Amino acid sequence: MSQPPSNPAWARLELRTAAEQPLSTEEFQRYVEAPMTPEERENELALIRWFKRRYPTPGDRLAYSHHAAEDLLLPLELARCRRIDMNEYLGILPDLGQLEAIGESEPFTGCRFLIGWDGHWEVANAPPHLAGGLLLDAPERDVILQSTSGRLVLEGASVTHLGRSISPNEVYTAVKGVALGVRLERGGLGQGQRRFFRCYIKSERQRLDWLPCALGDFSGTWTLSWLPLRVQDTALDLLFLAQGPYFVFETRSADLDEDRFTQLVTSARLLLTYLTGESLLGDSCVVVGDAVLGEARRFRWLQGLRRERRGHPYTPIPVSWSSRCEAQETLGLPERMRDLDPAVLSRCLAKLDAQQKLGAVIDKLIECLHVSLGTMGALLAVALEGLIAVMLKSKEFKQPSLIAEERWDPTLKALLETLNRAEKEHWSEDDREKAHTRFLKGLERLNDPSNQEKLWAPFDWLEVHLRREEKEAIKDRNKLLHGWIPDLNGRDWINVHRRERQLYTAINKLLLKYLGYEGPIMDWGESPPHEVPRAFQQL
Amino acid sequence: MEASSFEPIELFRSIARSGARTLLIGRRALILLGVPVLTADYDFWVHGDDILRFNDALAPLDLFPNRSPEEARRTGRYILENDEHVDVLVAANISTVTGKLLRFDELWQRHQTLEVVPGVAVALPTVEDLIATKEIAHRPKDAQDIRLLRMLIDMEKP
Repeated sequence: MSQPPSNPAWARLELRTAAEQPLSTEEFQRYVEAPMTPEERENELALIRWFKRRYPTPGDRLAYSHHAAEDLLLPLELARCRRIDMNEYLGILPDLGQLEAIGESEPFTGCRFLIGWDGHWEVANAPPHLAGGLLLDAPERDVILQSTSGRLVLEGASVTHLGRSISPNEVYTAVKGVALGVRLERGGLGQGQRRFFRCYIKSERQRLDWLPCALGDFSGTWTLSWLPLRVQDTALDLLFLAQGPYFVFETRSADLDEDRFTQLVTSARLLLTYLTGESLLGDSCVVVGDAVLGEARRFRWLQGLRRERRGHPYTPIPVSWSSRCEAQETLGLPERMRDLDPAVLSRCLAKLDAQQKLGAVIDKLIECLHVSLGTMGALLAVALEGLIAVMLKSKEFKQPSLIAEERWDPTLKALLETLNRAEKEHWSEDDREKAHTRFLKGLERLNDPSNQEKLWAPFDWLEVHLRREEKEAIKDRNKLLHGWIPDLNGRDWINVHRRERQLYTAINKLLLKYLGYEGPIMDWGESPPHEVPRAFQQL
Repeated sequence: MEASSFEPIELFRSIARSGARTLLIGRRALILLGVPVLTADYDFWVHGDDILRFNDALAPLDLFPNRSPEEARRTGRYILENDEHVDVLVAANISTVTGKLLRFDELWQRHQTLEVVPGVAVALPTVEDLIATKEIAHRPKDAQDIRLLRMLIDMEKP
């Protein structure tokens, strides 16, 4: 199932079977009439325009379609298609909001709880003995509940609100709180038992055109949108389920534990949110189950980073098929570069997985797209310095010295001797106490490159070509970091924004190259979002 | 399995020469009109009286029917296959998901012709009729194709 089929006849049978599951009349009509965002519509139109321009005659198009069916559809698209049982995927997930959950531990024994995916919980009718001191008594701890679906644990639960009733007894009747996570246990998993892991992520469904989906259907009946990733020996698949809607990460690698799966998924969510503009950072639920019986045994709901759930248009690389076609045409790239290649994404994920600290840099890059003008530049400046610090720490990269070490060592020795002599001959005891260490450090740093050169050096090391404007933007990063106060006329604000976009593009180039990405990238310095034609560069 | 040296132009040339009343439908028709979708198949709607003529034309390309013309007329469709796959609709009338009745003769009367290479033309329904044929099977991909065809109409409006 995971490997591309090698027999064309079998492959076509699979393709046909999967694609030809009919919808009900209502579903079909709903799909046909589903509203399109202007961006989706423009993407589709751009694709048709591109196709007609690239293949101007019916004969050209026929030749293309024949070639595409042979060379693309079978080996590539089918390799990306996987049939899944939507009912199984959706049915396995308990509806947390609807679970009948009763407190089993004090002070909530017998209380009925309402719990949300985001960890917020509520006790509607708390008994009178909960009154007083609850905030102090139960500040942060696990609360055990029993539900019809199994044992529930509110991990690190805190009380945030006590509602006082208006009855004469003045008892507390409503308690609200939040938990770091919510765990549901439904039977154990023995040592050595084959497990499956899934992570369901609530989606805002901004756009899906970045998912390779030859047979993708978003009408709510089934889905085949699938992105297969691989990190070392671990296969990690990303599926989109139209119902929910949910993104689902899952692994079919047997030798994995829950912590490792969660770590890998965390990296993948961050990386794909950054690269595709689709937010995969919403509320999530990790499911662990018995792979042999196909039964889920453990669930863990976690609150997502809400501020980033809305996605962003500033994808560092072209992700929609239309923008990739446009990039391919503009840059004269080979046809294979037109698709968002799972192998390239896997390489980037492997690098991020190996260097977890890059996550903080990527987080800044996502964050900077949701802040106000001017602040974006400050966050970018921090991201650039963070990225270079990660590179230095990895020992893969070293800041170059002004002169070579074999010549610098005797030079430094001579300078230190001169300093020692001068101290003995001319300095007072007080001078020595105040200035010796400072002078020493100053001498040691004489061979270091300037701050500006330190920022450019990693670009040279990775052979990332910077345009003149991007170099200028890096020069201006200090200004952006400390707050660039533009004049009140509009022109200066435009300059600030352009500088920020140029800096963003430059950092994207460095980070993407470091992650192992090869292919077209967006040049946001040249064209802001929604401007056509779009500008691209190539890594 | 050894791949055949199938050439799509030869398919259309053979059909054109046969004189069989044949409409190219399905995703391959969308592609010829300028809509970039992927397909591995060819779909045709052939007049029920021209099945034999159509089959004879494609036999030299090693495409052989899975049903006799009588059976095909009874069931309304059949397949020609080697390692290519040609779906053939032969029903005189067929209903769409919206209850509209499509009659081959009416579609044939309105059809458009595209020249794929000099001297080889292929007959297609009008875009509006093509949309109607996409309402027959009500599969997800048909719904997507209808949306794309509607865009094509919008693009071509003056």
